[in-house]
Amino acid sequence: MMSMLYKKLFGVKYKSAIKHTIIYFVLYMAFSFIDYKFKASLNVFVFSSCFFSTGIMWQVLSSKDNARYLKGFFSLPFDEEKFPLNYCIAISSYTLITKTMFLLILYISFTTISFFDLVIFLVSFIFACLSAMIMFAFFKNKIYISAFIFILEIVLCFTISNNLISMLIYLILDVIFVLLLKKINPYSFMMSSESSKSKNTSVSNTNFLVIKYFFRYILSNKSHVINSIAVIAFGCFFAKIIMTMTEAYFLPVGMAIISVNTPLSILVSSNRKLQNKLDVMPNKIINFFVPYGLIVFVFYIISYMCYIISLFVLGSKIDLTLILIAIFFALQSAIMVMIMENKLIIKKWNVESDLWHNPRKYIVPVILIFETFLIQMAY
Amino acid sequence: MDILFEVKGLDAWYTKDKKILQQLDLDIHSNQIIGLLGLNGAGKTTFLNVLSGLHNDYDAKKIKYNQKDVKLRDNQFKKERYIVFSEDDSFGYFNFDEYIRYVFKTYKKDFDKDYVDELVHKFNFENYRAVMIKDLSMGNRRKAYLITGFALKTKLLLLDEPVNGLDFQSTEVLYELIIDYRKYGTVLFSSHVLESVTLTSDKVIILEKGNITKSFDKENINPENIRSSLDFEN
Repeated sequence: MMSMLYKKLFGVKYKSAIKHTIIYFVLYMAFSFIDYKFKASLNVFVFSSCFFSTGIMWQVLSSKDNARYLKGFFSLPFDEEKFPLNYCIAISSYTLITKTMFLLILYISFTTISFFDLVIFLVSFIFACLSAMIMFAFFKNKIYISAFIFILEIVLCFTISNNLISMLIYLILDVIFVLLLKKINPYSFMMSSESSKSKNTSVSNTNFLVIKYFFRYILSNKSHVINSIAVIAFGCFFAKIIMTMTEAYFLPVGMAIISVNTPLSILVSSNRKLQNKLDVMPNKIINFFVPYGLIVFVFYIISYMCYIISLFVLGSKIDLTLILIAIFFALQSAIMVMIMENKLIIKKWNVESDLWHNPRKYIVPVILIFETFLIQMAY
Repeated sequence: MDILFEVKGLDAWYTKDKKILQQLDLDIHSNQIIGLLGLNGAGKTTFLNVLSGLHNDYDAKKIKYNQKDVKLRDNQFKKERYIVFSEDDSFGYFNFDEYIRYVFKTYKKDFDKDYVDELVHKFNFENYRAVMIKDLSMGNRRKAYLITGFALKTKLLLLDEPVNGLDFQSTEVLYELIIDYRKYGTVLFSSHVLESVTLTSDKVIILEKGNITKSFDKENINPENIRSSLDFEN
């Protein structure tokens, strides 16, 4: 059954694993040609790789399609002691090969990395994956354990250095967590499906149905909300960085970065049956995609306004041009999301994580960044 | 009865080297109930998916609706038909009332509240109207989509294995509604349950390896005839 999970994560002939390995090799070669090095702290690298890996693990563990897989798995006899660790190895492999490896390639290409740095990366990555599993298992019933492990992970990231003691600390913790994982009830990884009643049944106004649907979709999953808030927060943080640039016309770059908002732009792609139903019903553009585009437009306007306000608070001069650019960018982003979810639906994904990290999400920001440079050239 | 829908020489495939439907011919009349039977993998769902416009890898010598050539993804044709899929969890964040209102709005039809309430009552679905579709059991989800299909009263109603997941009482209600649907339009439905086609249909067609091998008109529809024709593998 574990081989079924590997096939689900990597594709039937492990195509995803082969594809990603080739891509990362090519990227490494390409980055090597750039011949640019910067000084990067090991702590920052370990922090970003650990929390990125933990995030991916959590996303896979909490995805609905994974829940369906577990339901099938648990209906058959299985070794309860071996399951949690085997499950962890499968998802960790997926995380490393398809996601975290990219961070490692960046780090190797652009910094001077020692062998010990690589060892620390490996043991910290294993720790991050084991932590994600244990935090997930205890999250519902013993959240204080999850909170403790989370804090421990942060503290370790910023206190370790590339020496033998740090390596040993991680190794000891890895061994402890492996032993702990063997004792965890495998059914802790099953997500419960709680029925939720909406408040009223009468529908007085049909004009806002899609808007209501969209908000429920976003609010139903905490990661959607966190992601949306995090993107806006990053945009506001980015305002501080962009203030150091000499060219005021680079200010719209922050808006382009905020446009990477995955949950917003995969409403249809995330549900294959919804795609089918929309295709067979009439008037999908006017009844579904226009209200959808409207919500996306409003959301982008709010996000961009947060960014502009951050710039203002930090002392940047805000003029009408920037506001007009914000409205123009929001309109473009909304239209592009509508078109992509209608005509360029993401169909080939194995797990939700693949959906979230599909390169399609970079189309809008890349176009907006390109337009920012055009604006800069025009001035 | 007028011919509502005509298909001649229909081929459909998922990969070009293996056709699921082969030179399928079928005339569908107005206000007719057609039951579609066949073994697993015969092509029943593919056929319904082609008619609903979902499956686009097909070729046909002729496809006509109301004696006019038609494209199966044409918006005007979509308004004439509704399909209930065998597996469906679309619009999961709507509850039933929101979903049916949305569908009526999409089809630009007047919402018949009384008839919808009657269907909800028949299917014993009152307690589930407020529950989001994604949280309904498979059977209740099936009811939600079936009620919507019957309430919409399109000229062509396509049902893919509608009996699956329904409780005994709801199955009886389903048969009654299928028979009654003649007043409004045509039903074409696939099923694995012999009784569902023998009790309701004006015509039963047997699909085998992508083609219609046998068909039975009203006078000849009985379980023995059909069962013996399905024994071709033995």
